[in-house]
Amino acid sequence: MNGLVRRSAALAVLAAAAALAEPLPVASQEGAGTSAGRTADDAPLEAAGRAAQSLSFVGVLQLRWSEEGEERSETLVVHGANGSLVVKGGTAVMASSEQRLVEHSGEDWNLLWPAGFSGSDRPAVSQKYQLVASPGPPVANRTSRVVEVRSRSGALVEKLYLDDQTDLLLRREQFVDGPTPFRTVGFESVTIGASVAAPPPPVDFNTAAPQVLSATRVPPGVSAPVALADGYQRVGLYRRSGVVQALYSDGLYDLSVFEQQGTLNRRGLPDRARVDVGDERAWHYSWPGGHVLLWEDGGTVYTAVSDAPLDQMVTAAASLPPAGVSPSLVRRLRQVARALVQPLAA
Amino acid sequence: MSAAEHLGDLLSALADGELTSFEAAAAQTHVTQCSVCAAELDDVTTARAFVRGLPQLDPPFGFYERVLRHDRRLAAAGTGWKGRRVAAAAFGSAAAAVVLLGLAPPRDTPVSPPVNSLVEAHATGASFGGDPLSRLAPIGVPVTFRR
Repeated sequence: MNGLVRRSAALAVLAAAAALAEPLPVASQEGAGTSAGRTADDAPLEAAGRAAQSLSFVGVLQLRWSEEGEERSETLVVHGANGSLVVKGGTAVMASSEQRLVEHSGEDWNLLWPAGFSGSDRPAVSQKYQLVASPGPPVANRTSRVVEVRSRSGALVEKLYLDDQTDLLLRREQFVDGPTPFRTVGFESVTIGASVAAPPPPVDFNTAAPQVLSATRVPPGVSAPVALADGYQRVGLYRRSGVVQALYSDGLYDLSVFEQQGTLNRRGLPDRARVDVGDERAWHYSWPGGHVLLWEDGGTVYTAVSDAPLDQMVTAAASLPPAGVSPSLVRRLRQVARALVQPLAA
Repeated sequence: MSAAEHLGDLLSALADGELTSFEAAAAQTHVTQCSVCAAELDDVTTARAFVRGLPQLDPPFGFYERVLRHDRRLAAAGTGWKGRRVAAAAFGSAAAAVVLLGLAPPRDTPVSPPVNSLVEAHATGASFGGDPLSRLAPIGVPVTFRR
C-alpha cells in the first residue's frame, strides 16, 4: 500500500513537472518570399546582384553619407570578374563563390561567411514598396533606367539606376524627407565587359564563420522573433563568438539584431544622440551604410545594424518582444522541470 | 525507421558519440527527416554544451574528508531504513540545489558590443540578398565606434 502511495506521489510530481515543461515549438519556414518569376523591374536589386556576380568590370565608386550632421564622402575601387567581386577602400571586402571576406589595412583576411550561409530568400520588395521604372539619365557614361522605390503612401524612398544593357547597379540613392538624397553610392567611372582577370582569392585567412542556428529552436533567453514590425521577416539566425545575430529583411533593406546576455558597459561608449526604442533609451550611431542602435533591456544587450532609414529601424527594433529577453521565473521553472523530466521520460 | 518512431535515448547516445558508425549514420538520416528528433537533438546538444560551459568550482576546505566520514558512517549503519532515509535526504538536497540553481537569475556580465565587427557581420551577411555592390561598399570605409 505504501509503495502504491509513493508511486502515485512520484507520478503526480512527474505530471506536474511535465505540465510545466516547455512544449516543443512548431516548425516554421524562414522568410516568406520567393525569387521565382520576378523580372528585373519587379526585383531590381536581385537583377543587379546577378549582374554584379556575372559581369567583368572595373570602376571607381563614390560613397556619400551624412554622419553626425556632417556630409562625408569616400572613393572606392571596385573590380569584378568570374563571380568574384572586390571593393577596396581603407578596408578591402571580397565576395567570392558565396563567401565573404574582409581585410583591414595591414592585417590578415577574415572569412566572415563561408559558402552555404546565404540564409533564406528575402521577401519580395513589392510586398512593402511600389516600384516604377522609367528611362534614366546617363550615369558614368552609361545609359541607365531608373527604378523609383516608393512607400505605400507614395513617399520616395530610393532611386536605383540600373545599366540599361546589363542591369548592373550604377547608382543607388536613398531619401528620407524631400528630393535630396541623404546617402548615395554610385560609379564615377566604370568599364563593363573589359577583359579583367578575376580578383585573386586570399591564400591565407582567418576563419570567423558563424554557427547557423536552427530556425525552429531559438536559444533560451534570445528574442529573435520570426518577424518584426514594418514588414521585416527573419531570414537567418546565427551565433558568432557568443553573440546571436538575427538577420531580417523587408525586401529592400536588411536589419541585423545582435543579442548578448549581460549589462551594457556604458563606460566605453562614445557620446552620441539617444533615441527611444520602446521603453528604452538607445545610443544612435551612423556608419557609411546606415545606422546602429545600441541598448539594454532586461539583462540583454541589443545592437541593431541596418541600411534602413532610422524611423524604420526604431519601429522594427521596438517590436522585439520583451518576454524573450530574459527568462522569466515561469520560463526558468519550465526549463528546470523539463530538464528533470527528460531523463525519466521513456 | 519511420518518422513516427522517434529516436528517444539514441539521441543522447548519438550526441555522446556512443553509437557505431552504422547506427550513427542511420540516426543522422532519421534526424534530417524528423523535426521532432532534430529539435530533441538540438536540446540535448545545447544542454551538454551548457553543462560543459559551467565553471569548475573548488569544494570548500575539508569537503572530501566530511564526505568520506559520512560514507563510513553510512556503511556502519548498514542498508537499513536509516541509511535509506539519509540517502533520500541527500538526493532531495541535491535535487533542491539543482532547482535553486535553475531558478536563480543569470549573473549580470558587463558587455561591450564589438560594434565595428557587428557592422561588418551585418553588411557582409546582408550582401547575400539583393545587390552585393551597394551593400559591401560602405564597409570599404573603415569605421570606428570608440570614445
